[in-house]
Amino acid sequence: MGGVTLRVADAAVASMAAAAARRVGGVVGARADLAAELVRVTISVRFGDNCRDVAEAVQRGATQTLAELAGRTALVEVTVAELVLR
Amino acid sequence: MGEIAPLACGRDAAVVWDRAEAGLPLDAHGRDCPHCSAAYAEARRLEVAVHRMAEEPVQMPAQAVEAVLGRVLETARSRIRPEEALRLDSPLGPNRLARAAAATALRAVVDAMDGMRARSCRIAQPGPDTAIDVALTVVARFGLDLAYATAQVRRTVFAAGEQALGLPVRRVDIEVVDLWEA
Repeated sequence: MGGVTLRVADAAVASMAAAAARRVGGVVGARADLAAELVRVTISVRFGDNCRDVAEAVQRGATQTLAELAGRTALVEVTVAELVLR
Repeated sequence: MGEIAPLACGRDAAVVWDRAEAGLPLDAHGRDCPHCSAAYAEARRLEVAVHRMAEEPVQMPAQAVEAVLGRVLETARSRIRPEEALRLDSPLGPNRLARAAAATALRAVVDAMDGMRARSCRIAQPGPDTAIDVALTVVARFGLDLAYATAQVRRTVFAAGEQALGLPVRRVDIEVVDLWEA
């Protein structure tokens, strides 16, 4: 049986990271893109949730998701771009 | 906007529309004039339709909300330069918080206080750690005990910085720039 090569496109990696971010409590919206090996996740956070803790949870969730689903070890940087006041 | 052509009778159409919008009846000429009557009736129909639509609750589909948020995030990310972001501590590497978003949040906290409105909020993060210095300008209701009120603002900003932003607040400077009379 021949070998199997798996290649996960950058867009797919970004989608996985954004989806992982949206699963974190307090995240209202999320987008992600790649710059070299850095995965940049941009989120909006519900006001009242702790931005530092939410950003860290997103970072942790995205890192773990990319490792599990894509076999990719990535450095994830999270930017809280907006606080949604309700 | 181009000029509005007068009606066939010579009367300014805008005058007829204004009467319709204000709910005023047509004057003597208008009542007998087919052109004025038609323009008036058309304006009334439009007015009724606009009011009906304005009163209908707006239902935003979840996909539309997500699309709008997505565009906001795309725009925000592409515009946040390193100097416009505050550092957030994380054991997995530093994260960022848009300075403008943090300032908006702190202003909202002040605005929620009785008798106080934030006018501006500047946030600096001067040291190697993530502690922030906050400079606020506020307007206060006339008659308010300013020493007491600003102490309350200071306490609230300290708490919001820690709890909502996740940033220790080292210093809060408040300048009362104006008063308003209730």
